[in-house]
Amino acid sequence: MEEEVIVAQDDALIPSPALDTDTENSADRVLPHTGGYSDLELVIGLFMLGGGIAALFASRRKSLA
Amino acid sequence: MRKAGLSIWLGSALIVGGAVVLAWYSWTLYQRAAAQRLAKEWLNRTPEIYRPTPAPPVRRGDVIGELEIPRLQLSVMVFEGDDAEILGHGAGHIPGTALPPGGGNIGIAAHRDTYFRPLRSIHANDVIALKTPAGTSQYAVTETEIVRPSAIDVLSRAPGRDLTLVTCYPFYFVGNAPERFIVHARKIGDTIATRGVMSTRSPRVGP
Repeated sequence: MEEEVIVAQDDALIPSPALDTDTENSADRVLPHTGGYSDLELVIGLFMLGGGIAALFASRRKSLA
Repeated sequence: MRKAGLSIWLGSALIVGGAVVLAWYSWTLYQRAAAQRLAKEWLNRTPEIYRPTPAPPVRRGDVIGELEIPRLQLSVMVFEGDDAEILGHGAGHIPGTALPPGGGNIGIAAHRDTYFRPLRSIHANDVIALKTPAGTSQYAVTETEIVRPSAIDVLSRAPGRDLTLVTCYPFYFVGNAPERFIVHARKIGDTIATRGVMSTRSPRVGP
């Protein structure tokens, strides 16, 4: 993250930003994709780790038997 | 013997793969927490701010403010933009919609599996606070709806529609969720800063 400081001399109240456009004209747009896969990543990671440890235990058991 | 060797190889590969996935998961958690902390620190140490006239254009990744829904114990920093990288750090202000504290319909999106998951319990009249360097605005939830991703008109201006929250729906879904959960709210009051001499360019996330 970066940060810069701007010193302002103006005493006027903050103007309303002029970015408010008519979204009805944005026919090509869709609502943002807000799925997120953090749960899936956690589950996959834990399953892989658990599966790996289980496989190593199983092979060790076999070799001892 | 050969079978045991295969099991050892497979087990080791799974452990390494699992560790990599969990390390990536932890890294994203760390990055998200760091971005939220930095943005919150910036917002809290600039309680009253005037922006120079004309106000500098908002750039992708700039801190917009902090969104809070006290009843749901939801608190998240809002950055400018709604792409995957921005939403990985917090909530995103949807470009093209109104910016606080001005009039119009402010659109804010966040992931359903992190910051906006509590929205599944939201209901009418819940209070939403949006704190920005210019002050704090309060909104009351008027309605919720479930729409297709193409229903961009939920972000358009309409009387009594001052803030719109967007997240994916269903909240628990493996893969790309097919719908969007929308929360509409109207402004019920605000506290706008009246004094100040310095405008601090906010910290940014992303390149």
